[in-house]
Amino acid sequence: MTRFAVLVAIVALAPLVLRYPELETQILTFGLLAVAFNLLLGEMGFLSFGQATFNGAGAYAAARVLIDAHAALPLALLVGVIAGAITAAAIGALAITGRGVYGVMLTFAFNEMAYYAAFQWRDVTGGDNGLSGVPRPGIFGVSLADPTHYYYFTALVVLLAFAAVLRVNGSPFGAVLRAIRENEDRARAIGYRVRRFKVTAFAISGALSGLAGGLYAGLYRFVPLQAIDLDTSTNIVIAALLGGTGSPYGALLGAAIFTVLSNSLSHVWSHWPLIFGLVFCAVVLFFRGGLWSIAERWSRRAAHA
Amino acid sequence: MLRTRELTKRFGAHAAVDGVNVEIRRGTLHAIIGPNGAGKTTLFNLLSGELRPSEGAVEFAGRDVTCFDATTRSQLGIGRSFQRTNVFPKLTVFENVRLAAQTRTGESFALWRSVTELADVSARAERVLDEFGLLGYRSQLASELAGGDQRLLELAITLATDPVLLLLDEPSQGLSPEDARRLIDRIGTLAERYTIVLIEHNVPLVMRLATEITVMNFGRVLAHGTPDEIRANPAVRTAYLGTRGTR
Amino acid sequence: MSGLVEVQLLNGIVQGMIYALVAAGLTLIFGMLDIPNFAHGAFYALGAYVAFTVVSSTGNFWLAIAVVPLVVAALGLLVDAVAMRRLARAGHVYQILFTLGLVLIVQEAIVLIWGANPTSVNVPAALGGGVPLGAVSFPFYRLFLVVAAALVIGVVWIALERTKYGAIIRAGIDDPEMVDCIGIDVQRLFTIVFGIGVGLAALAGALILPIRGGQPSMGNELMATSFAVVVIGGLGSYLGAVVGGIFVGLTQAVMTILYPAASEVAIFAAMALVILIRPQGLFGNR
Repeated sequence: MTRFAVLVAIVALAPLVLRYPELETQILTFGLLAVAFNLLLGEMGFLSFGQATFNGAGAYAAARVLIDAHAALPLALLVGVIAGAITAAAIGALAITGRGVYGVMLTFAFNEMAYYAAFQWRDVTGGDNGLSGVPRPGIFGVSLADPTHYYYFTALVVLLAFAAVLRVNGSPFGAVLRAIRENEDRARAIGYRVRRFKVTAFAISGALSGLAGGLYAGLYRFVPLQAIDLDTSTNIVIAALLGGTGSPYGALLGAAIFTVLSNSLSHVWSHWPLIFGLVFCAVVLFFRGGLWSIAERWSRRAAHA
Repeated sequence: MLRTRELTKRFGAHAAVDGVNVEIRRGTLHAIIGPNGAGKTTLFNLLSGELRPSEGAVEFAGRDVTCFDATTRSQLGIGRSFQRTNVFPKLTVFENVRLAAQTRTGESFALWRSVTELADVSARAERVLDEFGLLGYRSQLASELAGGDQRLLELAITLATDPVLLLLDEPSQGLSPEDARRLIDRIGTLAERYTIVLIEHNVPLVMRLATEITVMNFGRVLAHGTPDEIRANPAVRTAYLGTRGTR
Repeated sequence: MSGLVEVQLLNGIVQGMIYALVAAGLTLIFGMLDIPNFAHGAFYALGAYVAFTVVSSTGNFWLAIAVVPLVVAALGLLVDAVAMRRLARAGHVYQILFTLGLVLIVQEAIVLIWGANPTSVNVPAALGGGVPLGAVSFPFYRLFLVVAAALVIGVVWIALERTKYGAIIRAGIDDPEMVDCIGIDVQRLFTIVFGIGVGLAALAGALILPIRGGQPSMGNELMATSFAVVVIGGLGSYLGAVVGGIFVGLTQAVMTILYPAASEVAIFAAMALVILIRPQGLFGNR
């Protein structure tokens, strides 16, 4: 609870310290993507390379509703959530037919399929040029045109979603996901319908990713094709691992660091992904718990001292 | 309670289980013995639903369960333990057992409740842990337990699912003699409350515990009867007991 | 007939042979050795770029074809020895993640060394020109590619199916401890198979260079398609990878004629269909 309070405080105060509300909003939407990914990897033990698929589905769906129907923002986000959940449930149901590496490959391949579909389906997605002219309506009579206002709106939504994730992790359902992660066969043998749990977890992860996509569409009033491409999926994986998959806080931390670094380093040295790759490989080899586990170790040591 | 009819499982041309008819009666401790490769574990996998038979049928509580998978059979009350310790390694001992107890609640898709709110699940888990003398380890990770305790945990998980029939696959395998004795005592007490099918290599022990014995060899039932009948059976003596040098 | 359709189909086979080479390597490494090497596409890209360097410095394409698989395979073996074996105990997930980091490194290193712009080399002089086909002509080099790829695929297949070592490899995969007992160094055999797998990808990269040139992202694009190929063919099945590769290449070609917009999506739709109808793949037996 205290950790959540600290998170709320940081999110609330961030725009006062750093005056880049767009960047900070992007941290939040990307953070939500990493948290959604981590529900699958950290809790259930499934490495999904297809998270951008759900993000893109949500972003395009929300943007279309905003453009074509001039829908209210909450409604558009809800549409994004549903689009993400349905896409994820469908892809998840196919991907879990195979075990281990096979399933990972399938999420990867379906992401590529989604990318090409978005690329070709110009009427809906704008293809290569992206989907521009997405309106950002106000909410309850309050204009969200100002970037800081939109930041706080996003912050509210993302924090609520994050709290929901914490709640799900602590639920009987979350416990079963961890059982599946630890020993799928045993979970089946004691009477759990593993398939249903997995598909449900995918749907939840997809819903969160779709929500992030919708918020992103509102942020830049634009959905680029990158929203659904494999590089975005890869970035989500990298960010979450960097932060640590042991906790949703870790995923959020990783997303924040990744977003800030990729924005600032790209100005300093254009070949920064090289360093990122090296750091990432080192994390995988030597610090599998990610930054969050290091932070936890420090705080434990501090508590003992 | 459990009955098989001409149960057969072929792997390629080889029939690991070949036309087996057994009946497990309520309240018995029914041991299945036989040399290595006799098809005992395959038979178990057919009973618990891990494998589908090539031919034949399995009936449980008067119901044909041949087409039901392991999950469904577990939900119907067939609990099994595994030959190799099969627990949730990076979860605590308590979580291991609580997860098993939770399968019977219908609350496993509750996203919005806290798992700690399921008071009767926790109470049941604690009761089972206490019964197995594991309550002191409740906050340890299952992987940190000693081998003997892991086997006990394995049994505790199976029991926490509230089965009516227990399938125990060589529960004492890999244990020190002392741990094995402790475990067997435990099984003896369980036999007062559950119907148990037991695969076990330690024949003297089986003779002491079991009320009925089925001897398997080459995938078939060689003999069936009480321990005394089995001991006196000449076919069993030549095929199995004799080679093992049991008194 | 103007020959255009024939050219398209032939192009489909050319592309299919590239897929077959890459997927054959993938199925050896993923399916038989159980090493999830997501950097397979990066080795393919490296194959193209190393070939580019050899050709542009020596002018000898044949040398490139011979050298590239060896150089890149050596690199692959280094990665295997340094990281993949160490990570085997941590599990597949971490092996995948490590190779993901490798993809980032390789892709950016390519940009750093060879630049972000596409590179290209000329078709070797001996293979210039084309075969007349109706109103158009089909380049000799592409026919050469098909034959060369088929030869290599065939040699590896014979080595797997018809030699003592192939039998050991397949036995080793079923039961490593058993083969260890017989007194054969399984680890060394696995290393050789890993090298062959990487070498096949690198060779594919070198062969495609005179046609498509090299782009830093070429490996990533290929990776997803190769996954579809091995899923369709059956993960772990060599024959499946080859047939799947040609099938996917032809599917793309046919779709390009019929309905170009869906030519990429069609591959993955086929993959989804295979998962639903025959999850073990067309030639898989699991």
